[in-house]
Amino acid sequence: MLEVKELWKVYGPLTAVKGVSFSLKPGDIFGFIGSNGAGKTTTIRMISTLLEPTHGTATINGADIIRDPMGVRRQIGYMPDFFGLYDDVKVWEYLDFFATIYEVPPKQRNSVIDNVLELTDLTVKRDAFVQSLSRGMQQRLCLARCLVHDPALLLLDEPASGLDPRARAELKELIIELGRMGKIVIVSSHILPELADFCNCVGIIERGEMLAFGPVNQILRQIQPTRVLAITVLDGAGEVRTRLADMPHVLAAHLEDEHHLRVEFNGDHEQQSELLAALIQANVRVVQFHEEHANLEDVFMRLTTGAVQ
Amino acid sequence: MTFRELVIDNPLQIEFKRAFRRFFGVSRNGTLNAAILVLCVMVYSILMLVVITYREFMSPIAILILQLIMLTFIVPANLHGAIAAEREKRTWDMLLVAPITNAQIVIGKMIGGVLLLLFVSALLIPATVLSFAGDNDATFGKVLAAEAVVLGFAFFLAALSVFISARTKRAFAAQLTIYAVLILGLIVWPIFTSVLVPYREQGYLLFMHPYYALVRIWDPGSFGSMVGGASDQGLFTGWLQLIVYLGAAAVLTQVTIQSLTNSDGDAGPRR
Repeated sequence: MLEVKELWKVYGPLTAVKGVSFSLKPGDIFGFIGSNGAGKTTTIRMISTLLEPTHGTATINGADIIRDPMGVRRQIGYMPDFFGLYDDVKVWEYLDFFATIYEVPPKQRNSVIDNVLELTDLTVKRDAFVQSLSRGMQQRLCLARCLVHDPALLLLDEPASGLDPRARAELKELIIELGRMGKIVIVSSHILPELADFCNCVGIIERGEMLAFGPVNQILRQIQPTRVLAITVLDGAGEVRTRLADMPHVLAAHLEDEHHLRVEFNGDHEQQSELLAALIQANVRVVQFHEEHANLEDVFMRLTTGAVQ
Repeated sequence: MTFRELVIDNPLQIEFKRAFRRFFGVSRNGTLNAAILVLCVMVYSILMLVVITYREFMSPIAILILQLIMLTFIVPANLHGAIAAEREKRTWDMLLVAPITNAQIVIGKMIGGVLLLLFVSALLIPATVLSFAGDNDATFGKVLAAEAVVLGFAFFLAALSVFISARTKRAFAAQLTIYAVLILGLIVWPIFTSVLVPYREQGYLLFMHPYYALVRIWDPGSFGSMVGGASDQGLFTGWLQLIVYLGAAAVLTQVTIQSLTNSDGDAGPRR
């Protein structure tokens, strides 16, 4: 269980993080969204014990980042946005080094290394030198390093940056798998559609303030409380608009052009199907009828102003 | 922290393996490093040949001064990047978020440098022993005291290198800073002293100067006779210098341990 309570970070006149609070439970995959300079990395660095908060704290399974940083370090895996790897070591040696630091018992180290290599699909590179790996493989190795001690919390700061589409897709699968394994995963990213695919919870931060936090659907519902239906008709869209205005649960109907309409609708799926049936009964020649879903990008653009500190 | 945790079981022993590979052909610069190694072996062989051939004209102090010169260059060259290079390569933060203590990090980084300086010193022992034949003034006590100064200074230099490395973001900047400090301490300071301070008091101000100390241990009247007296003669026993060097090294190491910061240096000391 991760509990972040009123985290503040002040650098002289600049307040980088303003009272960020949230809590996550095992299995949660949390997408941390914000522009550059919004405070994501600062928040992640405070949780990882790299930065001491000016005020507030966070606890991971009872270990406090201020009072028990070593206890926190034992439970987290941190992947920074920019990172390097040691030269002149082989992949398994690199993981063995961190397994030693994380006090993995010597007898278990080999099997742990094999397991994380398998999970990150790097088994064939076990004896390769770290510097010979591609960018995507290095990213996966860094993730494997985060996993050698079976942490409860993974902090992944822009893990997909610099990866090609295939590597991104593989990383996404891996993160989903980690969530299934019961780990709390915090992922900061700019690639919002991807986050929506695998995060069950998101937080939007701007100028150090958390503007929204919660399950993806709940946040989408907040910014778009009513359903939006897109209707395409073969002809007579103006007449259809007039008809729609009198139909139940229709809040407003907007004419886009001579074929397309957008309807604000506050009914459920059953009432939505009744609306379609009514249109067809009225001899409206419907070509398309579907609900338009807001996405994370819409939410992000709606909530944020783009301002940085 | 126990000795076992700090030294024997220190995970940073991986640094030896990395350094070994760097010098024996596994890395990209392997060929160059192998060439440097061959050159070092040749230079060492020539040194030994010269000492053996001219041992009746040699003095152990010459070998000890050579040892001091070598260590003055080798120790900073080996340790300047201990922490600064980790920052530069962005590997530092990943080490800091791991459950390893600051003492383990700093001592682990220093172990490699200390072993190297001991190895170089051990290589020069045969030459020192052989050169006894050419110096009637050479005694075991003098050699031991001089060796104490050399090793003590090298330990201090190791601690100073890691101390500066921990405060720098670039390995090259760390190296420049260390050599600048050495030039100030070993060259500028004696010049400043000789120009501005009366002769009789210069010995006190040069107490920490290892080269000055070596010469005074070997020949207590050397500088004193030049300046008409040696009231500071008792200071240059070698053992006093050793204590001060080790004390300073311990203080610097402790300060380094207590003041490690993250890669951006935007936070207080790591706890």
